Amino acid sequence: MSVTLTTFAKPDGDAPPVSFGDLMSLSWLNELHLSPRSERLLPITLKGGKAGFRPAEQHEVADSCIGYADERTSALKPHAAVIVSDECQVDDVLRGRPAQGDAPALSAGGRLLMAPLRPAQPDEMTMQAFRRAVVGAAGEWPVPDDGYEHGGLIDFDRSFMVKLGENDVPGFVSARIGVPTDRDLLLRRWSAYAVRRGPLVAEVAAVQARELLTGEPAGPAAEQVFNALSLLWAGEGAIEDRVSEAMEQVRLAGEEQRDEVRAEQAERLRLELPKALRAIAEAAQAGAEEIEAMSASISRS
Amino acid sequence: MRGLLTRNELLPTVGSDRTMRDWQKKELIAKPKAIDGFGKRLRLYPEIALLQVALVGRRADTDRLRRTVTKRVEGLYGCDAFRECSAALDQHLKSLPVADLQHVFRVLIEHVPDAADALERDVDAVEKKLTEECDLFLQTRLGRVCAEADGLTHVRIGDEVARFDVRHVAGRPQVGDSVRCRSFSTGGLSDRFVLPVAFPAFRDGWRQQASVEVAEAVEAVTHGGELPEMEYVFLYADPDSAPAWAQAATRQLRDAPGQEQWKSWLAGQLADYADRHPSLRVKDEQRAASAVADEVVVGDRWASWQAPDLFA
Repeated sequence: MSVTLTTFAKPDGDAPPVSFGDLMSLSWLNELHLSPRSERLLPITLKGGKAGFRPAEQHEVADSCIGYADERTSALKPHAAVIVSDECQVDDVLRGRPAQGDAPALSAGGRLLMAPLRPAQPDEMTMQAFRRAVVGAAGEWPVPDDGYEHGGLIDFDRSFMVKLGENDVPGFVSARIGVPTDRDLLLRRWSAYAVRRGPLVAEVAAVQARELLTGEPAGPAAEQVFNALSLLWAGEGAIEDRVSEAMEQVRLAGEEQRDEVRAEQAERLRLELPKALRAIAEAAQAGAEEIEAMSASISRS
Repeated sequence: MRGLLTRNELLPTVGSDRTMRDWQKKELIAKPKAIDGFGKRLRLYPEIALLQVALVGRRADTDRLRRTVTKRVEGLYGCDAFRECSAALDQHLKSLPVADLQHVFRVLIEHVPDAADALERDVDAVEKKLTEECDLFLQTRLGRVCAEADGLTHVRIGDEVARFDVRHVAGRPQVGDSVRCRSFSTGGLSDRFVLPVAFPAFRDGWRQQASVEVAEAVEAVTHGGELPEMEYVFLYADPDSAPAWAQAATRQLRDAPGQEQWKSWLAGQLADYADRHPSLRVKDEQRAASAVADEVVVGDRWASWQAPDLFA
């Protein structure tokens, strides 16, 4: 089995705006993961200019430990994290939203969900480990160190949220240190972890369905079942996006053009939505037939 | 820890025994507090005596400043903390192999830690008063002796290397030693001195020890640079894991100058930490042994699958 993996590349001038899957450097992240028993010290200047420290009061501690077991060595502590909030959310938080019709403009700021990228021990980065991470519910997603310095394991199990004020946004955006080489692949893995949907879960289900129905212990996925479930995942996202986008166009249109835009978008949806729903239905039908065929072959034998 | 100098430390800054006696006779510098016992004699000066050395030979308008400093130094001799420290040194003088700061502080911290802290605070208070009364600027920066050449001691302070002649180096630190560089300036007068650093890493109490070790880490990592802006520093809440300070400190200091040098230092620290915690290794081994390969039930179809254009 070959395993396709996401890696990160250095963002250059042509990189798209910060979005889902981007790797952000968070200098404080490692310290938050140190230990539940750690105590933060605040640097202070003592009399005479001497540098010193004092224990932080409870209210001064930004966050509690995110939960890495304290027996792990610092080599495994993360200092970067991947944005796993969806693209719309990232847009709202980092770029705000212009005024839409009666709705006022929203300033940037809000909360983003992040998954830490922790460095991995060598034995965690073997192909076997990759497979386990892919197929298991380990909540970790390996990122090979593919000639770029940010390899390791994306640790979905320890996802956390950062709260950004409007003034924090420029600093956060400038902390991007990697863009995923395959954003869609990362999305599929995150989707499998977060909502148990998408091609990865579909393939697991299709393999297991085939095994149960045919009695063959190992074999490829039931192709049509896999296709139907995957298409359902892709379709339910794309269809909602298309409807939402159409509504947005209507809202953004000026008072005078609104009726015209509304008619235009309605016409578009009237043509497109049935096509999409029928494609899903056809895939579902093919999947159903495949299952029935498999069941029939078992009955005959 | 600061506040005291032994005669051995102060002597190079003055020049010779004869000069020192002469200056003391003229009351240009304070007389030491002498402690005798077991055939040894320890002569202690408050650190501020360096300022008096700096003022010797200056213009007449420093007379008032000199008188003020002398008054403050003598005031320190009379303070409770100094008396208590002197008594402790008197009692334990025999245990001092050499009358230098490291050993003096070891005695003080082991036997009268509160008095040692109080003395440091008293010296700080005196310096603050001098700043207020005489418009005297006092600054301390950490450094590291990086070379001795041409009769000069080269001290790296942050990114710069400062050169001090023998007169300005107290206690003759060796190459590699941590030092404090003290600056005195008032009006048109200024002078700088190099002093040895004595970290009381043996201080009782893990919490204090960890604090000191963080300070040492900062010093070691930055090679004597000024303390950089540290966003977060954590102190472990139990003595066993106190060494983990290095991990936090060095992570935060990864952008500090001299990265290459401190990387190997950090590797050593982490190796030591692992050695001191054999349970970590056992757990790692257990985890590796229990890592039974899961049954692979999935291919990579999920990764290569392309959704058709549903709207076409």
